[in-house]
Amino acid sequence: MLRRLRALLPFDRYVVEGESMLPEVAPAERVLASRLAYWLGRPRPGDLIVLRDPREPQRLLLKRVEKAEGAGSWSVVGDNTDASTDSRTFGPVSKDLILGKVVFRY
Amino acid sequence: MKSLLRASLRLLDRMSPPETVSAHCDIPCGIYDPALAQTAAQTVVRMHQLIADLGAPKEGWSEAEAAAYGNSMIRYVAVKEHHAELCKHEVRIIWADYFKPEHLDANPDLHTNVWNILKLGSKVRQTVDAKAADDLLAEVQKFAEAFWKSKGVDTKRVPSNQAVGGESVVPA
Repeated sequence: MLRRLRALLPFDRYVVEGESMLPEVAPAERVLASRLAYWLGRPRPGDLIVLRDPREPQRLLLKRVEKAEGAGSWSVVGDNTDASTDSRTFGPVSKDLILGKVVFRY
Repeated sequence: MKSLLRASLRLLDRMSPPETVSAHCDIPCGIYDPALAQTAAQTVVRMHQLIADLGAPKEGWSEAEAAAYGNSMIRYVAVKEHHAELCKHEVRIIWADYFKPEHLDANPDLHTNVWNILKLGSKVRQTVDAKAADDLLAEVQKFAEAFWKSKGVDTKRVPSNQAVGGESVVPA
């Protein structure tokens, strides 16, 4: 039933590990990400997003959109740049790697 | 309203855990150390020593003696399992996240070295094989040498100063 609920609602729950988004998002904090947010709109600088690691797609990352890099891809950064692996390492990410926009933290 | 949503989501999380999202650092500021893998491999060797010391179970043991024997054996095997996997994990991180293609030019054996570690790391879990454990440690020491060499750091072999005996590769 829960699985069905999960598929039905356009939101995914995530628990955060790591410190690259400090001070805004702390390890073990939970976030709710909307899968619908980018169906119509585009990612905007400053959005907090959940994306697939381009180097290791089964791993999910939490980063902030820095800016659009041409059509269809965006550079992402961690807030705590000393402790973040992001577009500085793996380059801009395309929209299909972006799973959702964080809309609520709990 | 917000707190109600918060409480509901927490409850939902308890029923079905949320996925993990990584705000993780691969430490691009460059903190990698093969010492963790070396310690794990030494632990695997040490567990083989302790298992050998334990010997075979004896006939005519009391229930308490048999329980003590089983308890020790299971503890040694559990630690052997855990540290073999830990060793593989640490080596994989350095291999995948630290080493760059240009390091391969200086050390063409790197992939074979890592392959051997991962294979031996599994073998020492599947079997009680002191030779495999020694080989694992030797490959991990070689990996440590390659790591430090890639950073332009000389290494030396010093006594481990641990119950396991043997030597450890450390920066010179």
